[in-house]
Amino acid sequence: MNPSTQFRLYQTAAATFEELAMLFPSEELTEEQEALPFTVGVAVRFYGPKSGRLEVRASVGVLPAITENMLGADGAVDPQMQKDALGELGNVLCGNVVSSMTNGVGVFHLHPPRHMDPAQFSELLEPNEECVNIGFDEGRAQVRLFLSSR
Amino acid sequence: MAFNVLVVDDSAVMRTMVIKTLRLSGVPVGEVFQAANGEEGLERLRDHWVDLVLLDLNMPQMNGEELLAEIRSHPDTQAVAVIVVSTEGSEARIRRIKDLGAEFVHKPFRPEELRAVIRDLTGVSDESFDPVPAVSNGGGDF
Repeated sequence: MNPSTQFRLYQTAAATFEELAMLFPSEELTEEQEALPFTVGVAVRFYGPKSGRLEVRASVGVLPAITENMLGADGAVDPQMQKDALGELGNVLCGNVVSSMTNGVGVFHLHPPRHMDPAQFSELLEPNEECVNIGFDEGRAQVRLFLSSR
Repeated sequence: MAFNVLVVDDSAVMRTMVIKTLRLSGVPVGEVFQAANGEEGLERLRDHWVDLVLLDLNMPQMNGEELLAEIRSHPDTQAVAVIVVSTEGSEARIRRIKDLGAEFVHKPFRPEELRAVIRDLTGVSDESFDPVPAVSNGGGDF
């Protein structure tokens, strides 16, 4: 695990959740937050100067909060808009993470966000994968960055 | 003067957020049109009078860069003010966008940033705009 990559990933992820979805990270993940299972996820593949995949996973409660805050809605938002909001958050997060890796040098291409079933979630980290957890009042999210070795 | 605005983004959520942020920016907004890709964007431009286009880059069918080139190649639309709204970090790609006479705003952005870019791009004085409303809990960020 590379501490500087992990730190940058956390900083970018926390800032994106805060600025885009108005979810403010707690200072530390509590035991209760840590125990929450992930119920939704999205993956964005990218290629360019570096290639790989960024995943965002979230526990129940985070997705409705993201959607309501992004849309300025008050109350229930339809499931399709919730999926769209998570996809857009993954997209923005991936764009900001890959840009920060090369300081603006080179062009990255991002694939459309792909929604994941919780059954697809692997707990294991691959050798070239970084992972950060972020706690919120509404639950927790996990961001994983996988860089392919080519 | 109120701006007729076209928002082009393949995400309905992001279009809603852009419009919300635009309204919070204090820029006087007239009619707002939406399109989910570059081809739809061109159709809206053919059918309506548009003063300002807010454009995403990565979209299916016709991406933002292609749409921008199309806008600049037609006499009817070549002078339309265009702001590209994207997470794009490539300096080379941003330079290409600016060479086509568009401005660039990085996602996420605040109403104040959007207002400043629109003011600089259109040359409309700040006095013509409404004050930016105070927003609690950061709800104006995008």
